[in-house]
Amino acid sequence: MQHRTVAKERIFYIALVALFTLTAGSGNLQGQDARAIMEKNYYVMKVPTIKNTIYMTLVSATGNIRERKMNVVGKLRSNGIDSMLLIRFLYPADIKGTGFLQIEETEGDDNMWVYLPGLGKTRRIVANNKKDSFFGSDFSYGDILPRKVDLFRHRLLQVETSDGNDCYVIESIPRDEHEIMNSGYGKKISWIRKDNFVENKIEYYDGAGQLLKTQQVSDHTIVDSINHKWMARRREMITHRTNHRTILKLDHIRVGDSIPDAFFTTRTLERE
Amino acid sequence: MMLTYARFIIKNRAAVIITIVVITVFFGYHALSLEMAIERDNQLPQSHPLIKLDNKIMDLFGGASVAVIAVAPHTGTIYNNKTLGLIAKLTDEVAKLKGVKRNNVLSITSPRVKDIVGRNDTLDIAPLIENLPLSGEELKALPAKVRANEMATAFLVSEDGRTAVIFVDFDSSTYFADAYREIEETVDRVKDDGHEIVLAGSVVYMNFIQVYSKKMAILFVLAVCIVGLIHFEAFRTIQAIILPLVTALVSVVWGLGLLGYFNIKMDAWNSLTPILILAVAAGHAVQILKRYYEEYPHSKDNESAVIETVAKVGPTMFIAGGSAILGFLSLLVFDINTVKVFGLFTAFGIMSALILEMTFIPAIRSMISPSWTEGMKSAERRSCLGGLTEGISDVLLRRPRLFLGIGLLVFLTSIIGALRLRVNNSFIDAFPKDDRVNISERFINERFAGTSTINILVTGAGIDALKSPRILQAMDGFQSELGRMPDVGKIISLTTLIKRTNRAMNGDDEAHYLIPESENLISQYLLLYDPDDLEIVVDRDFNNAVIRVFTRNDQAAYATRLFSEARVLASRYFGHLDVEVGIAGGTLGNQKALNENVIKEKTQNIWQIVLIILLVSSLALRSMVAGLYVILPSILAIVINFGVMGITGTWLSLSTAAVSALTISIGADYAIYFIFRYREEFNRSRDHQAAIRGTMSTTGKGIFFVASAIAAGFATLLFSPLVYHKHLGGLVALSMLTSSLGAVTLLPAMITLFEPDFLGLEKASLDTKKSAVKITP
Repeated sequence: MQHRTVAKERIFYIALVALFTLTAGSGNLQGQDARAIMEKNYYVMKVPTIKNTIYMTLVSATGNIRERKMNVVGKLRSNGIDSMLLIRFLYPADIKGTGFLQIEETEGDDNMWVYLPGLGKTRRIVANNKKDSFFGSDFSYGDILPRKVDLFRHRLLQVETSDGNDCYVIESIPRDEHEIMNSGYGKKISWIRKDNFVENKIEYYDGAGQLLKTQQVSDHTIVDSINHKWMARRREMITHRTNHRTILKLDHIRVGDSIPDAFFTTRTLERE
Repeated sequence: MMLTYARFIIKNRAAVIITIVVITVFFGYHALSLEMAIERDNQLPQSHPLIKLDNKIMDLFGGASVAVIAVAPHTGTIYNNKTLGLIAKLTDEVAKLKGVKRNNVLSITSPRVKDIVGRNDTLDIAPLIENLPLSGEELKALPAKVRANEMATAFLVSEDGRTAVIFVDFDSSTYFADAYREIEETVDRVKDDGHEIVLAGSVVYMNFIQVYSKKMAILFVLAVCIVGLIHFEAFRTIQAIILPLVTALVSVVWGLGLLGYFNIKMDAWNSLTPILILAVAAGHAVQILKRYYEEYPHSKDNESAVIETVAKVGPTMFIAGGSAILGFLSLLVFDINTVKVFGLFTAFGIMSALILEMTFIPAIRSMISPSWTEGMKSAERRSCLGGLTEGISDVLLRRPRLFLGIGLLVFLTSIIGALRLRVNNSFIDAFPKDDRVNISERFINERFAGTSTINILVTGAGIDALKSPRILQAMDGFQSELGRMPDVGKIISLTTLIKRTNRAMNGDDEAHYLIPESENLISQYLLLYDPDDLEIVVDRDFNNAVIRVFTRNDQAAYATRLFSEARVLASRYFGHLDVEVGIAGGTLGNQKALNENVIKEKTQNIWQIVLIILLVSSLALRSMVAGLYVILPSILAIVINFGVMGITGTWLSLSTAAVSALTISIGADYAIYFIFRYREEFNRSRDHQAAIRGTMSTTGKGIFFVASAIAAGFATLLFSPLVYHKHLGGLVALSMLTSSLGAVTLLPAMITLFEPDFLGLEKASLDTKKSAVKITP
C-alpha cells in the first residue's frame, strides 16, 4: 500500500516535471517544479536510522594519499527533517576514538560535541561551521548534511544525460546574503537523476560565480525499497583551487535498526 | 685597408644610408611595442639558495607579491562599526580582484581569522568578527578579544587599536603595476572622509619603482639636450650638435628595438640604459668629429677629410668600443636576469654606435654642406679647454713625478675611505625619506610588527611529520628566542594555533598555553580545523610548515645578522631532529641574496671586465704593459669612487656596484684613444714633447669633451626620484671626471717617466725627450 502511494507520488512528480518542462511556462511555475525536485532529492536520503562505515581518502595535489575510517550512526529526529549523528574515528591510530556528536536544529545553530581521547574530555563546540571543512576533507559540513530546500531558490535549467543517467539540471541560489555566508556558496548546480532523485553531480560556485568545487556521485544503492530511500556509496569532491580531492566510500550500510534517542548523548560519545 | 673601406662607404653612400634607415625603421617599429614591467623573478638571483628556497615557500604558501592596506580612523580606534564595515568592505572587494589569491586575503574581518575560546566545557571556535554590525556589547568586548588573539594583535590590528591592515596576496603572474592599479581603484571607490588609508608592501614599492623609472624618458630628453649643448660649446657648429646625437639616438632606437623584438620588458635597470648608450655613443662620435675637424683644414675637401678620419680613428674606435662591448657582454654571466638584459642592451647599443659611426655618419658627413663645419676655428680659440690642456702639458713635461705623486696620494686616501664601504641593499631605501612609499612603509612599521619578512621553512620526513610534539616544541623554542632579536616585530607559525587550542581545551588556563606532549592529541586538535585556516602556516600534508618572521628593518646588513642568529638557533633547536630547516625567503632573504650576489658576482664582474680590457688592449698594442696603462686610470677612478662612497656612507649596492663596470668600460676608452694618438703623434714628429702637446691638444681635449658629455648625461639622473638612480648619476659623473683626468695626466706622466717599450719609441728620440725635459725652464 505504502509502496503504491510512493510510486503514485513519483509518477505524479514526473508528470508534473514533464508537463512544465514541455510547456516551460512562467518562471514561477518552473521554479516550483525545480523546488519539488530538490525536495525529493532532500528526502530521498532521509532514513529513520542508519549505521555505516565511511572510508575517507584524501588525495593532495601532489598525489599524497591519506586514509581515514569512521563509523557513523544516525537517526532522524521526530520532526522528520533534523538528524542526529554520532561519528567515531577508527583509523588512523592517532585519531582513533575521536568522536563527534551532532544534533541538527532547524531553528538555530546545531549542537555539537567533540570527544578527544588524547584529552579524555568532551567539549561542546560552539561554531557556525556549515562551510567549514568536514574533518579536513574537501566536503564541508553543509555538503554532508544537505541544507534545507527553501534556503535556496531553484531553477530547472535543462534535462540532460549525465554518466548515462537522465538528469534534471537545477541551479540553486541562496535566498539571502546570510545563507551565502553560511554555506560559503553563491550558487550550486545539481544534476539530479530522474529515476531516483539522487544527485549525480554537483557544482559549487562562490559569490563571484567562480567554480569552487565539483562533487561526483556514483554507486547509487537503494537502501529501503519500501520507502524508496537511496544512498550513494561513493562521493568524490575536488577543490579546484588546490586540486585536493576527497573520496568518501560508504560500506556496511544498515538502515532501519532501532536506535534509542539516548544513544545520541555525550555519555555514548565518551564510551570509546 | 681602412682607406679602401672608407672609400667604399663614401662611394656607396646612398645604399649605406638607405640600409641604415631601413634597419632603423625595423628597430623603431619593434621599439614601439616595448612595455615596462617589473617582474619579481627578474630582479633576483634565481640560482641563489635563498631565492630557490623562497620560491619553494611561495609555491607552497604564496606571498610573492603582497599589498598591505592600512586603515586608520582620523580619531579614535578601529573598534566601531563604521571602521569595521570599511575594513570588511575592502576585504571583500579586494578578494574579488583579478589575480588575487582569495584565500590569502587576510584582515580582522576575514572569516578565517578565528577566535578559539574555552569556557568550562565549551569550545567556541568562531570568526573573530561575525555578522557586522556588532552590537554595543560586542564592540565593547572586541578590543580585549583582539589583544588576546595572537594572530590579530600587532599583526592585523595595531597594539594601540588605532590602525588595522588588510593583506592582499597576488599570484606571481600578476604585474605589480596592474595589482597596484586594482588596489588603488578599489580603495578610491570604498574610502570615506573619516579614515586614512595607506598602501604598502611589495606591490606598492615595485609599482612606484616602475612609475619612477618611466620618468627616465624625461631625463633622457634632458640628457640629450645637455649633451647637445656641451658639443655646441666645444665645437660651435651645427654638425657638432646634430651628428653625434643622431648616432646616439639611432643607437638607442636600435637597442630598444632589440628589446622589443625579443619581447623583453623594460624595468628599473634597463630604463637607465638609453642614457648610458646616449653618453657612450656620443662620446665615440665626438672623437671622430674632433678628428674630422683636424683633417678638414689640411685638405679643405670634405670627402677626403671624411675618408682620412674613418681610416685613422676607425681602428682605435673598434678597440675602444669593442672592449666596452665585451665588458658589458660579460654581464651575461650574472645570475640576475635584469642585469643580463642590461649588459646585452648596452653592448648592442654601443655596437650600434660603432656601426653607425663607421657607415651612416661618414656617408652623411660626406654629403653635407661644408658651411656646417665652419665656426670651429674661432671656437677653438675661445675654448678655455685649450688653455687647460696646454697648462697640463707644460706642468706635466716639467714635473711628471708631481702628477704620479698626486695620483698616488689620491689613491691612498681613497683606499682609507673605501675601508669604510658597506655592502647593503634595501628596496624601501630606493625611495627618498619624504617619498610616499617610504612614508607609507614607516607608517605601517611604526604601528605594526613590520613589513619585512623572513620565512623559515621546516620540512619533515613525510606526511604528518609536523604533528610531532618534539618538532613543534623545537619550533616554539626557536621562534620565541628569535623573537627577542632587535627589530623583530612578530612571529607567526603553526605552534601558535596549537598552543591556543590546547589552552582553550583546558578552560582557557594560561598554564596550558604550550605544545602538548601527546602527538595523538595534536592530531586530534588539528582535526578541529578547516585546512584553509591553516594554509598560511602549514601545507595539507603537514610536512612543510613556514615560520613567518616580521621585522621593521629591511636592510641587507640587518638581514645578514638576523640570518646568522637564526642559523645558530636552528642548529641548536632542530639539530637533533629529523627535519630540514631552511632559513630564507621573505624580503630580508631577497636582500641578503642580492647582497651576497653583489659581493660575489660584482667583484667577479669587475675582474672580468678588467681582464677583457687588459687582453684586448694588450693584443691591440702587442704588450701586456700597454694593457696595464690602459686600465690604470679606470682602476684609480674606481678606487676613488669607493673612497667617496665610504666617506659619504653610500652603500655598495646592486646599482652603485654597476658604476665600476661602467667606469672601466668607458674609462679605458680614454686611455686607448690617448695612447693611440700619442703613438701616431710621436711617429710623425719623433719628439716626445711635441707628441704630448699634440695629443693633449687633440685627443686630450676630445677626452674632456666626451667625459663632460657623459658626466652631464648621467648627472641628469640626479633628478630621478629614486635614490639609487641619484647615486648612480653622481658616481658615474665623478668617475668620468676622475678617469678622464687620470688618462690625460697619469698616462703622459708615466710615459714621460717610464718610456714604455710598447710605444715603439726609438733610442734617439728618447734622448731628445730627456734633453727637452731638462732644458725647459
